[in-house]
Amino acid sequence: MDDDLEEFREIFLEECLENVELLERGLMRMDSGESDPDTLNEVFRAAHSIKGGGATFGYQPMAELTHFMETLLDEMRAGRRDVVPDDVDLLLEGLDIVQAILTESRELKASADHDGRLDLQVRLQTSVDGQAPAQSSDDVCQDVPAEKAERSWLVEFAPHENFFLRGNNPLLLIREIQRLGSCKVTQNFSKYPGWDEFNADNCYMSWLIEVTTESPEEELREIFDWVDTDCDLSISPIVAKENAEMPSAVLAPEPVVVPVSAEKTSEAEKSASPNAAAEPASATPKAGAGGTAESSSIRIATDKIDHLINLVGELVITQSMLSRVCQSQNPIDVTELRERLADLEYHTRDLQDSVMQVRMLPISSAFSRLPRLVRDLSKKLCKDVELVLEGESTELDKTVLERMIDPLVHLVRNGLDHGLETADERMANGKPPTGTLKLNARQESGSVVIEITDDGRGINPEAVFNKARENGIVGNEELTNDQINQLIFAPGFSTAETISDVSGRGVGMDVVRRNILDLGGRVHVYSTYGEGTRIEINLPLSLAILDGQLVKIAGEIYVIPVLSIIETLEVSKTDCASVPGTGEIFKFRGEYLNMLRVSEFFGLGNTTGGELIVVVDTHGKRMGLVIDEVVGQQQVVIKPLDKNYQNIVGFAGATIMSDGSVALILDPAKFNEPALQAEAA
Amino acid sequence: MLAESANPTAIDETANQYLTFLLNGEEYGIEILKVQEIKSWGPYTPLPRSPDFVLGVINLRGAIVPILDLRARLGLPSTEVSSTTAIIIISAEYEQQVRTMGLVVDSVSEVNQLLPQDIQQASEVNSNVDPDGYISAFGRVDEKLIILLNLDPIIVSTLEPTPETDV
Repeated sequence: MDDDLEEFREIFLEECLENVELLERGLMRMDSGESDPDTLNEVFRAAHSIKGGGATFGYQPMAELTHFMETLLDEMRAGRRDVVPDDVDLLLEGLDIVQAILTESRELKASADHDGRLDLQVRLQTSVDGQAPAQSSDDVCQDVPAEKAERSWLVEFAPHENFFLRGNNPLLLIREIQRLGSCKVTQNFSKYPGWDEFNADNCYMSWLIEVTTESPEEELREIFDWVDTDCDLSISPIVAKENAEMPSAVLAPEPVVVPVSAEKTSEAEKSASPNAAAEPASATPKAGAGGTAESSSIRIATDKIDHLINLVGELVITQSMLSRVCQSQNPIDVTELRERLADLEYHTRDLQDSVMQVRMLPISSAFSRLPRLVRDLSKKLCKDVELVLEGESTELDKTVLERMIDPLVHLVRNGLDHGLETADERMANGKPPTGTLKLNARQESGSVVIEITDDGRGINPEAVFNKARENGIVGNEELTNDQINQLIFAPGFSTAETISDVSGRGVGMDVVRRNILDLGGRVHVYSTYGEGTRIEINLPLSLAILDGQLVKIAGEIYVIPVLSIIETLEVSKTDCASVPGTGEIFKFRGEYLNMLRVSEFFGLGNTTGGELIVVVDTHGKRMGLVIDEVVGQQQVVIKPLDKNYQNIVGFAGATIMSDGSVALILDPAKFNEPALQAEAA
Repeated sequence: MLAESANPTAIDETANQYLTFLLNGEEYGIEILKVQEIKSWGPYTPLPRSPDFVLGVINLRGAIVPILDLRARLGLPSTEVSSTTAIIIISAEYEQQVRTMGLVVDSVSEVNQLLPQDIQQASEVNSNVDPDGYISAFGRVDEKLIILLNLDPIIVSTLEPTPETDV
């Protein structure tokens, strides 16, 4: 039992996270005034799932809190109260706590709690009581049953007309229930059609059974196990004092109750399950402490998998055709062989694309956190901001996506804090009072581009340059405005006058750039002072495959990621110079760049001694790599070196060329790292 | 021989089997259980910034596998590649993962069975000879001496950065 639960725990936690996301999205919609029934229902369902699952898996604090949230939501859903910002704030606060509990539970591998939970529960309850005291109070206290105590259940048992034809006897079932505890049985003849249409073989009766028993709900359900397809059944807990007012003709109005009561059943099942399942599950957290190693998983649409299976089928057919061609007694038919090989190539490429697709997720899962962030932050900063999200369906590798969330959040924070002005300031500058922050994602030839644009005050090149000089990041050299703009990514740079908890510590942008570079991407900032800022991020589509530039150095083939290459050029001796202390430099588009002789740097052997240079972007600094020969471009599959060996600084891994040989992939982003520099020195 | 208890003997038989090969004129042996396959010599890709006993990497059916110059690792003089030069692919578990690597040897000889009474632990002979612990024992088959290697320190020294990493 414990092991079974353990297996589902990961799935549950993942589902919880999904539901939290759903809940947040819904609440944000409610916050902006869209409280239509669909949204409310969606939000309610999400909260309900978290609560139900939480109780089943022994996450009591989480279940309890979501229960209070659910109560409030239920009031709204039933139209008994309006959706007011204060309530949404409360719910959002609750959501934060649920999220905190989830994260902590994941780490502990057991149920966690949060300090602010009880306080919030009280406030939620107060809010519920304040506006709709009568109806809701029952709902709330029903969730704190004394363990093992007698409980009352209302069993609605409505056999279908053909119940008797299957050889069932309702009386036996009712007698079974009587054995569990004291019963009060009410018959219902409302379906009786009258003498004219009466058929003695049909069952027209239904029963309402109130039973008070110590047995859990499962035991009640078990009784009906054999007949559950032949009847409509609903079992729900009842609170003691309601007994008297229970109507005896609940089923009366509808002559045919099939669809309605089926839904009722599942609904009742759900709302009953937290209480019923809590007992057996409460022992599991302890058992889970030494549990399984953490593994991440991915949800894949079935059609993607079906497509894969189809492709593999094609591949197998092509393969068998190929072997038939080769096995034939006659001399091999070269034309057919070529044809089949072309087929094989086609299918292989298709398969590769489809397999890559499996890891791709829409960027909306990263974007979806931003509306909430912008909402909270703009309130805090007293700025009016409109957030525009574009290209949310652009797909990105799961790992890339996950590692992009923090940088994105940071850039959005920065844009809000530093970029956008307050309404007054904006109006004074002739801008509309509401600022716009736009995120745009799109695919562009093998890479994904994410743009973050704001129409705020832009970067003041003078201020940035002065600040950078003050902090010792740059000397007295002349820089173009574009170069100055990039300084905001330098380590230890911050222009904010005061350090707020929003931003201003001068570590963020540096980390943002580092994260992006680690993913094999690039980031560039464009800004016009007074008009706004645009930050452009280039990311590889996948981490497993990269577009590689093949180059020859000292007789061996090496791969340089195309994304980090700016230009390949041949320089004349006159444009190069050897500078004591700095090494060799060369002139590139009017600026001098460091020149790195790769073969000497890594001790690769003798080169042809030419001056062919690949200019690469390394952590915002450009440098020229001296190579012998440009071979060509192709997509390469990255294979880690540390699978069977160890990583080598300066190399991103290795790949296998079409002739079966191994080529190493250079990692120019690491060439500036102190560790590598020290080793080379 | 097989009659009495089939199962235990079967296990014992593999456990006592050693693949032997020649290195600098001496016969060496490693446990057959750690051997995955034997490959003929072929081109490899050199690895920069690696210890000198790591020759480079090869493509073993899609996996990047390092090949080690066993002569260099054991401190023996290096030699030219000949037609008998072979790569013994070994696999062993290290930090919960199966690692694969190739050992370059002068030539592969045969599979020998060594019974416990034919083996003398290296520690009983002279502990000063082999400070790195690469040699585990000495075996004897038909009056012929076989040096039995302990693969673990060789594998560890390949997977963990050592001061030797400096070029």
